[in-house]
Amino acid sequence: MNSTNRFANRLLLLLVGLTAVVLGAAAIGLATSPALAEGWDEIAPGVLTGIETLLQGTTATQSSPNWFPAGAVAVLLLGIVLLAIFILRQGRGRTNRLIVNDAVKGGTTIIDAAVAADILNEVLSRQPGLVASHVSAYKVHRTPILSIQVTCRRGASPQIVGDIVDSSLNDLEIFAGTEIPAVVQIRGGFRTRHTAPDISIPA
Amino acid sequence: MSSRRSTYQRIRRRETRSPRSVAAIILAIVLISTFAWLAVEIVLGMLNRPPILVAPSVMATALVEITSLPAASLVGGGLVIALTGWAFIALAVTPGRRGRHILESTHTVILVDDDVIASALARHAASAAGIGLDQVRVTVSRKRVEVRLTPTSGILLDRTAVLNVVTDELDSYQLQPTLEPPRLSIAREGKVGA
Repeated sequence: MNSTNRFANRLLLLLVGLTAVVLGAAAIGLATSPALAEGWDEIAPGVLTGIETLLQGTTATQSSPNWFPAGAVAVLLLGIVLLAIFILRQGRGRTNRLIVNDAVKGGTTIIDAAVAADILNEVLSRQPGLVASHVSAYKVHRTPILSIQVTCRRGASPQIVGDIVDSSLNDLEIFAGTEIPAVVQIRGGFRTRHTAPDISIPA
Repeated sequence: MSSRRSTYQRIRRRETRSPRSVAAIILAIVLISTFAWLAVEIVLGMLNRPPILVAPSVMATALVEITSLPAASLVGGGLVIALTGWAFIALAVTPGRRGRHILESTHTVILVDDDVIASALARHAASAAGIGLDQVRVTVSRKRVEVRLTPTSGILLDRTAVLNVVTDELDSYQLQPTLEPPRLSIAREGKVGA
């Protein structure tokens, strides 16, 4: 339900994975192919001396400051900031407002997600087939969507539980006077195993 | 209405596949730590201070002389790195199904965990077979439903009746992705005194 950028998640995994495969293959290649190893031994020292002079940085012997190490540090810091943003952007997208209706003359009607949550939790808590419910709202495609998670008792029919939640939502829609897009998640989960089997719903 | 349908479509797709958040976050933390360490080493090198672990110049020399390492350790190290990379690629490319099915509904999107489906079917199977709930094991995967019954010793189980009840119940859910007809197996050894 959240707005986590899943493409970015997979892209990061893919890029790091590809890099690791290439590096690993290169190491194996250097160990197994004499031609590759020779080529490496020829080219690498020259590259090293070049990098070494760069990495010495602003030592006393140099007249003009060398910006290469500072640049490398800056690139690393930029990478750190980007990755930190990447982590912080996971799992967002929750919203407090479920309905914003400004088509009303002379004002705007706002219904908080908390209202829907209170009403639905109250109604659903009276259902013997359900152990718990959790209601929140998320923005998907800029539209608020109600997320209803219910934990049902062992053996409860998902069809019946789905109908119960659906009709509760219907009542809420009549109360709110508008359609409320919603996603229902029916879970068993840990708590189910510690509750009595559901005998209230006929088999 | 069509925009709601596309929104629902998006939710259905997202909620039945793994976001790969855990793997991505762990990887990002590892990368951040590595970058931070490298940055500190470079700064220490610039200040001519002793390194925390390895000075950048030592790293560079080691990399140049990597061919002087024994071939076995190079191959071993390379293999470990390549296989780790392969695992990341697999995580990136595979859908990572979440063990859920979508219950037919015109009004909302209803997602049902597979263990809920399994426990509901188990209850129906148990009552149809006339045995206890603990004598039934049902596993639900993406395409398959397997019902395993342990009969009470000396009492014959009506295989077709149980299978019919479970099949009818499953059909009534109209789940997506569609599940194949349930498979029923009855343990050869019955349970005594149940």
